[in-house]
Amino acid sequence: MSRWTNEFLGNQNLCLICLERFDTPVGWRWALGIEERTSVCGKCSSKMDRITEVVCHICGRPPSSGVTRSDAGKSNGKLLRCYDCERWAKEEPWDTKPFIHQSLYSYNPFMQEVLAQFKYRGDSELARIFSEDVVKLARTLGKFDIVTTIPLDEKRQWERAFNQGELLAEPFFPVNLLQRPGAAAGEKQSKRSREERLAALKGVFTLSENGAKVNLIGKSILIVDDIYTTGATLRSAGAELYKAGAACIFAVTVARATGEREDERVSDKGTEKTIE
Amino acid sequence: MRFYPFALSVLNNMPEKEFANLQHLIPYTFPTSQFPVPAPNLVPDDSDKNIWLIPEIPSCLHAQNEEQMSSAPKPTLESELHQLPRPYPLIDIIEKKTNFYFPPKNPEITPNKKIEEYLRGRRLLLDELPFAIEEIYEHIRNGFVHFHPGLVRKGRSCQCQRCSNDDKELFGSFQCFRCKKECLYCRNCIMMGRVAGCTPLFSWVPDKGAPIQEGDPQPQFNLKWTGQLSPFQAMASQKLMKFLTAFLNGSNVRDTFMIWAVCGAGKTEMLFHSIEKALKGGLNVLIATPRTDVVLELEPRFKAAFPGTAVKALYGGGEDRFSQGELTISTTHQLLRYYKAFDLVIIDEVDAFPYTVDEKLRYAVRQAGQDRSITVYVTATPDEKMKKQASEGTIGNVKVARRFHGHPLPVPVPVWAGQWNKLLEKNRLPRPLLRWLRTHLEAKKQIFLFVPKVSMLVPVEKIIIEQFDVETESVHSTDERRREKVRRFREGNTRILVTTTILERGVTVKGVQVAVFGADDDIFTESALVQIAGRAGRSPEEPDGSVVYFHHGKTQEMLKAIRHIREMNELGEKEVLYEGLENHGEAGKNEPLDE
Repeated sequence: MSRWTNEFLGNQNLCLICLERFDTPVGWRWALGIEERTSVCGKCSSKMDRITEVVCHICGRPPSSGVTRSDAGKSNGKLLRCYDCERWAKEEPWDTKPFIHQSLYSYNPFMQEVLAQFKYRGDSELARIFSEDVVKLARTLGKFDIVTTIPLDEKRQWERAFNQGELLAEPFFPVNLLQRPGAAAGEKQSKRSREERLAALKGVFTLSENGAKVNLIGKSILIVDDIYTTGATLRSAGAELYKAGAACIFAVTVARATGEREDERVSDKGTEKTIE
Repeated sequence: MRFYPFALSVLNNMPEKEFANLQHLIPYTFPTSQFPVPAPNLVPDDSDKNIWLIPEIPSCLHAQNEEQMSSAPKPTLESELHQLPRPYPLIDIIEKKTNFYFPPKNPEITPNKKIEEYLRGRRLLLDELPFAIEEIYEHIRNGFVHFHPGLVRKGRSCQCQRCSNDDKELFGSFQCFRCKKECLYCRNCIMMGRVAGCTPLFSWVPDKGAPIQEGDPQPQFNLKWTGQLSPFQAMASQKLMKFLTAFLNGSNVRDTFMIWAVCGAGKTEMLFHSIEKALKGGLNVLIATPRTDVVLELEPRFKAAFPGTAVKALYGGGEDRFSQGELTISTTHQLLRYYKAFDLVIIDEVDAFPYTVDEKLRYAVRQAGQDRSITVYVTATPDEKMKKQASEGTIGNVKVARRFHGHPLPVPVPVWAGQWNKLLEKNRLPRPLLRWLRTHLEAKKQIFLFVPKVSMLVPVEKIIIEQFDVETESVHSTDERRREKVRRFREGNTRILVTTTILERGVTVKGVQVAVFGADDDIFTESALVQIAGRAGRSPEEPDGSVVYFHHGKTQEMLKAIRHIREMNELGEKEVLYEGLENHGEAGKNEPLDE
């Protein structure tokens, strides 16, 4: 509908990402009040690359990286598994226990920008863009009893002043189960290579005081986080929860790395530093 | 972060023993309160407006700091302050209409040079400072560093002290780990780091201006530029110099100066002599511009002109943003980090996007200037308000009506092109445009073709290639190959460059012909059209060029632009005739400007 109706009806929104005003079409859904309010303008949402099909049912890897599209089509209902997840399956506890992860978007340059603003510059309001979709995506994975997040160590938490996972999982009222004790923290995950990540994460997480009180035996648990790169963080948190007796671990993240790892690490550093 | 507020009267009446315990946490000196409080009441009350704030330092930061600075006294707040009032976020403290007390500088202490370098003339967040919080606190105690709240409540909304944003919609909120409660933050300037309700902005207390001796040679500020100014440039340069001298003597009435110079007048060279004088007079000089491209272009020129001076260029994505320079060239965005830092602020291309539309940037420029400072605007197309102020004489001003090579500006010609919109839908270009293109292609000229919309670029490019079979490219603001395409055009590899208004300034190509296709579109304002016309005839060898506005009905803006250029040409003519400002061709030898 024309611009003046939008102005007249006050149906103008402020895009959370680019801070510009945009119109949403006025229709019956709007009049009935059942329309979902969008908080991102068309321009910005067109730059976000939603993951619609996966080539690995475990880690939710989208096509184009590693495996070609033609392989993806031939699953015939079989559970697909990518090379990375094959490797994981040789290790404890993943040889016996399930792990299912899915991401909303691929971690393209625009997404890197958005998440850098969210995490490093601390624009917590951006969580509103994703939290609804995170809920929807999580519901498609299966039934879960408890929702938790990846904890930050205290110093980082002070630096950032919020935990990004907690904000994303807000609609679920996440429970704090894990903690990251002591000085083992050091560098950020985003500045490491795969091998370094794996080595650094051995035994980083332990059950928190709160987590010890909760009965985890036989429960399925959902972990919410912002970025999935190698899956090491999520898996080591998951392993800890399995030790405590959990039955099944799901994970949902906002963005999933798809390209070359080396590049990502470099550009990740880059975006973090370029605070205008 | 949170602070423990202390009324100074409380500190005054503190028992001896406790006082000794807190010695390292309170200011090294403070005045005795005028309102002695009878009992050691520890809650700050309204009768005493001066308060002292002790920051709450989280234990996780402690552990790391102990290793780093063993010599410095370490406040162990938790143990000593547990009986005191609970800490508050900064925004709640300022609410109580209190004054933050800061002691005068402690002469017995030598401050950390590094901290001074970071903070002098700036306002920074704690996160931007690579120093231990205890060390910064030491400097606050001894009066070297001040801080003030990042957000202040204002009516129903609040206001960001860094970017002046007070639009309710542009504030977010989150559960803050630092102040342990719901905390507002400014989303308008989030690109520079988060200013939240509990964020202090730190700044260095300026020294009481050490007077600089007149006649001090200061050879490091010498100007090494040997080019000669054209008579037109020289006149403007002298006027600016006079204005500056008045400021240095303290006898100036006005604090704003406008240089209204036509495109290609050689603005940068006019500034050189005044900047030299200002530097030698001990002023902090800033050259600000809305565009990163311009900063990148100015930096080498100023470095060459002032080889002994520390020239500092600041732009988004640039390195080393925190060191100090004697001459600063910056984008207007970067100025958000500055606070009362400069005495001479020169703003180049004031009328360029985004400075004109972004209130934040104008606020940043105002904040960056000292209390007593002068601002110089340099522009080819001032807005109505500035023109009015100039004609009323409320701001000092000078017009430079001729280009450095002394030739008049090419006057644009409006040409009716019919319903260009409809024609383009049918994949055709209007006849007059085609005829014009053919003439200039046959004369082996390069052509700049401006269109109003990005979506028009590709169709127009295609039609031209079909019709004429010449190297044609199109470029828009988010084009990844933008720089490369512009470079190819400059080198003459491309014959026709189709573009939107992004190239309206800054790009200089010898002997180029300019056309605006669809000049009646809203996007082509007077200033845009004047800037576009200013692309033609920049070099002394080919001072003339064709500028055509193809339209479907003349707009006011087009007429204004043409009138603007005519008036400037007439003014230049007068100056040549009556004031004897004849160009003797010497200035023509200057390097081409604005490249």
